[in-house]
Amino acid sequence: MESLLEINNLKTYFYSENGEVPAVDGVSITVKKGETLGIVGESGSGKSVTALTAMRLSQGKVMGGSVKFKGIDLLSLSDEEMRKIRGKEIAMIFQEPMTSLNPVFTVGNQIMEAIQTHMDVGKSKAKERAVELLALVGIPRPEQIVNEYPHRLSGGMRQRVMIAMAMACNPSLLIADEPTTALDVTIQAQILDLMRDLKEKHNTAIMMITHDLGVVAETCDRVCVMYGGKVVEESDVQEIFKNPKHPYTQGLLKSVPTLIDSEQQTRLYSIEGNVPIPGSLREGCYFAPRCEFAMEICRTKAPAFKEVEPGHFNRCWLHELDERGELDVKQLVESN
Amino acid sequence: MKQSLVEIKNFKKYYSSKRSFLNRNVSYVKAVDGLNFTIYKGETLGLVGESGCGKSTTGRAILQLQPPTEGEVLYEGENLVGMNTKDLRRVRKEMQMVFQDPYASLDPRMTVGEIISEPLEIHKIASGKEKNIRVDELLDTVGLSSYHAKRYPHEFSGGQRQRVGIARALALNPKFIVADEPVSALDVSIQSQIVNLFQDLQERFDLTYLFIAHDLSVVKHISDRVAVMYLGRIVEMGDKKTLFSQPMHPYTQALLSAVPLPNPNVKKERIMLRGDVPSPSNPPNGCTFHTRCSQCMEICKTVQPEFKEVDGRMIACHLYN
Repeated sequence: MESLLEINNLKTYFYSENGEVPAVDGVSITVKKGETLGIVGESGSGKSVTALTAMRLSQGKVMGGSVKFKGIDLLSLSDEEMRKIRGKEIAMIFQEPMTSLNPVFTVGNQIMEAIQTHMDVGKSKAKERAVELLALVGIPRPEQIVNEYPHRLSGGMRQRVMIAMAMACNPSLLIADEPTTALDVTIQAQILDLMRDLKEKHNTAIMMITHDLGVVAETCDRVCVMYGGKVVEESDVQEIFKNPKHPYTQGLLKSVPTLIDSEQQTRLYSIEGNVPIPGSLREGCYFAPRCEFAMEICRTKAPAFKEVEPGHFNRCWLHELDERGELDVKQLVESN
Repeated sequence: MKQSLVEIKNFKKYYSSKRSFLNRNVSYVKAVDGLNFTIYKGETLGLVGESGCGKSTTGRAILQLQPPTEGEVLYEGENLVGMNTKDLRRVRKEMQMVFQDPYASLDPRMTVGEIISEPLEIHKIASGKEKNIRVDELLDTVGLSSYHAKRYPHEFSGGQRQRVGIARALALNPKFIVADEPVSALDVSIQSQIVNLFQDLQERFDLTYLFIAHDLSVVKHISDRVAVMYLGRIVEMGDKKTLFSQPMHPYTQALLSAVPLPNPNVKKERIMLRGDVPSPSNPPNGCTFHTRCSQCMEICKTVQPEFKEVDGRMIACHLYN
């Protein structure tokens, strides 16, 4: 499949009183045409900053790497050139629809703005298109809702409006940053269903940023797991749930209670320690302080990101040493 | 025979909202509209529902943080509603609360030691050296260290703050804890630590929990019995196992089917609910769920279903009449 967005060794640093904070620390991610790529990670793992940097919306300083969209280097574009791509070719939706909509304009006005910025159409045509888009995202009575202000709508409806706005120019890539986190489960199901629908109809690629493994399992084709500003594991969705390689991914999967379990677990597995504060770690594998398999080498040298199986990448010393024949991982896992 | 600890009878909480200065017509938001249930000693009762269904209001009103509009709350047989402050203070020692947001529920200007020892001072239980010993003991119980007592909340991560909140709740050796969404603000890898801590503490101190959450997987894991709320009423309540394996109320069925499962190979029938939850200021007549229910009958639109026992569980639905 042809790749649409290629993020290569991206580094975004923030500077604070406490010094340099590498929020994104050498991230390489490729989104292919028409696929849904999941980015999973906890707070501070750098998943949102990666997306914002790609959109050129981040406050951080880009210290290296490149972001290529359809072969164009986004980081070297002028602001004006970037504005032509942002919202037209790449659209983004955010977690909290209330703070991303402007409270003093009607939703119709806000959708029309997106249309008229990128297309040469008149006001009445734009409004027609706005009504059409609202209908597309499943809003009842779109002719009336188009004249409503955001505060009159429920959370689910607002998120639909955000999606309508994002879809206004039929983007080829939609970046969704925790699109359902603020919503109730029954509404979440509606929104995920809608996104799946739109993806099929318009062949839009989706970059789905989330912390919810259920959402990943249900919507994504491929998954990148992030920890401490780095991608630690990448594979297709079946593999990651069936055969997770990185101890962090394994821990995450084991620590969520699910509705499927027939036998009753009495205790949940838990990863020791806390989510690291960005910038607090500098040496070795960032997960080492919380990893139950951590070895001497993990604390001093950073492991490389290697293909362990076709299409399955992992950043862990266990597998690197296993490959070299210096360690028997299977035995280690069993004895633990 | 299970012994009841908290009994809620015909419990209602309405919030009034005046339309405007001139218009004196007062409208009511029926946050909780007639609850009847019992919490037994030593159990964990999970309370689930979507936002605005009244689950937090229920938790707060049980502890008399917001007195109910109508109804009774019996704690070990004593009615808390309308109790005088002095008596209430005595009973409150035994009931504590853990809040959702570990960032907002701790005073940023107090050290963790002060936060945890405040209940001890208010109830004149310990002071001076004795107090410090108790604080160290509590910190140890929740998995923190005694040197943490001198630090301020901002120096802690979300999970650690929630541990502080739990230590504060434990300070008075309570019997009953209302936990209002205690893990929903936490990262996935931290959630399981806190859930495990809740379970350990229950075993150690023989606690009874009302565990309020919107995350059904967590509720299923931790609870013994589960109550499902919709628009201020309990629609179904029963033993965790049977409720999750064979949900009977159409809302419970839809709610359970909406949860995304972390397994790409499990394909399930999803019952998609149309539209949004109606506003609690103007709830539908009859069964409040009938506007979104796929099995709605004529009777549902006019007559409110009774909350009664069917096959060993409590349910409010005309389908089971």
